[in-house]
Amino acid sequence: MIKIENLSRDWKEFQLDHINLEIKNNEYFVILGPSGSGKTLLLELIAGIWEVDSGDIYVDGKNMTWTPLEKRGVGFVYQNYMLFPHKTVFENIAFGLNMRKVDKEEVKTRVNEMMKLLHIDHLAHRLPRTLSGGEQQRTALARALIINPKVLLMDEPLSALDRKTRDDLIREMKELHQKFDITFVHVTHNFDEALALADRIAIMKDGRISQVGDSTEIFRHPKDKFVADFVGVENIIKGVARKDGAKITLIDTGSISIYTTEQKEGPVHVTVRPEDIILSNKKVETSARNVFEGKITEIIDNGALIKLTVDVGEPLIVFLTRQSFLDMELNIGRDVWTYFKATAVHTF
Amino acid sequence: MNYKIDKMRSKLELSFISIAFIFTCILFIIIGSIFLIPSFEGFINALFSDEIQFALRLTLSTSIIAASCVMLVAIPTAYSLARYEFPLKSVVKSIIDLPMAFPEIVLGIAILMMFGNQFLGNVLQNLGIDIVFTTAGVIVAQFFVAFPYSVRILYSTFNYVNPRYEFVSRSLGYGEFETLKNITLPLARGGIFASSVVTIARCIGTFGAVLLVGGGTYLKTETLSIAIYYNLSLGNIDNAITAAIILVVISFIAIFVLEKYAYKDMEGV
Repeated sequence: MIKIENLSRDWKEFQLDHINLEIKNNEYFVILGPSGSGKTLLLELIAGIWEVDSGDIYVDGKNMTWTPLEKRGVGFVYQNYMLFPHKTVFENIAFGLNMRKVDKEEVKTRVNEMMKLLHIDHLAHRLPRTLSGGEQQRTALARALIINPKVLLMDEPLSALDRKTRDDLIREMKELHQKFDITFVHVTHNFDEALALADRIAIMKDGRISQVGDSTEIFRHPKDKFVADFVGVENIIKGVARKDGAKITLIDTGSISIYTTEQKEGPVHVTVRPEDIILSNKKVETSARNVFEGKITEIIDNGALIKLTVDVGEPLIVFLTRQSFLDMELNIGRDVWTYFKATAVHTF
Repeated sequence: MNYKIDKMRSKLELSFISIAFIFTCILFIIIGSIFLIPSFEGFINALFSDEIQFALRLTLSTSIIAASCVMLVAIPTAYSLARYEFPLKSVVKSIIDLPMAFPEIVLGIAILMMFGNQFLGNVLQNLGIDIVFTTAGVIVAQFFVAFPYSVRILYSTFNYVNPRYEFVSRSLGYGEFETLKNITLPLARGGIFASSVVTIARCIGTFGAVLLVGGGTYLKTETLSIAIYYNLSLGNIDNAITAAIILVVISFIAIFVLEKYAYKDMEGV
């Protein structure tokens, strides 16, 4: 477990202000925040790259605040990979083992295993500058993981990659987390990443932690407007996906079943944009696959738009224009029908 | 209008290129002309004369020793300036930059005063170490002339090596010294090489400080540049020009080596 108590540090005009945080053992923890919020600095303080001004850092109950970086047993992965340019992929990965006086044959076996695991075994003798971004990040992950760190700290590890490579790596990092069974701390400004990977998320702003919780908690109950705006999602529902025919996936949330055209299996998060949901007083014929009846539980007047919460088994946020809201004569407790297309449903 | 601006611009371009070209040509002709002055026989005789042979050997040996000492001191100096914060850092930086701006001969007289019959000089003399008017004096003078240049190049080299490489290395269990040895120095090797070449070239070429501190004694502390000065004032043109040609050749080798290896090596870091 990582425990951070009252951690403060000034950095030029910027400061981290009394950070308190607990990261559980073997958790996938994501620190989410806009750029300039201090998340990289926090990560580097946990790693021991800089000294703290005040406060304490405990790892597994031991106070590590003044332990030098090389004695902390943390792996560190940067956004721009930081592979040693004068060493091959193999030598980069073997670097940490060489310090540990591991037998040469064993180094070879372990590096080869690690390269296979990350699908870079064919690149062993290449220099970093000849690799693609994805290949470089895999090498960086392998280099950090091979020393069996207690904690793997990652600073925006996927932000420099293209969409497809990022999606592939997200899947693999989840697998790596399960396989290695260690604590992952991942810093990002991208909430898709946080949603896809995190067991728990901390939202950071202006050098402070604004909220900590699992993804549903944060998205359902943002503590303040900043968190709500930053995460920017109104409808987010947890469920389990399974195939239902060739092109359709069915997601069971426990109380309702939602159709999507995205191909997924296993535990997922579902999001639907409020503006993609149609509301009516009576059941109507429509091409939309997702049809739910529910009660209006909340009405918030935002001026031009009216924000309604409809309980269809899961709370759904729906936007209406003022005019349609008045025309439909809606009020709290009223039964309505909601419709949205399978193509409007996104999964993470 | 556009046409006019284009034309004016190309005029500027043209005149700037002409200036660059003409003056580089003049410089080249000036340097090249010294090769044409001596007769071949005169050159060979001068080259194998005792004086020039001695000066060449003295210059090379003192320069290699001085340059090695400079590198040993300049690497930690430049590294600490690039990486660490410490009190009076900006003062240290300015003092190191100072000798680049003020005349070498002033540096020479300052060293002479320091190691002469006062301050440090007396202390060292009591220990049986003579600096002034000895080979050691030549080395000391070369050291202080070349040191700032070396630190300058190394400083920008270390600034150029992203400290995150060092952080990653340390997170993998390497201590500070091990990281310096395994990561920083190998990554900086192009700059270290460039710095060594410039340092040794400065040591070989320096004149004023070496003359004042070493004394320029015939067959004792007379380096190649001092040999040019002495022989010219004695009217011994062949010896003077030969010494000059040796220095030019050494410089060309230094530049060639620098272009070929040092810069190529720095790519991709």
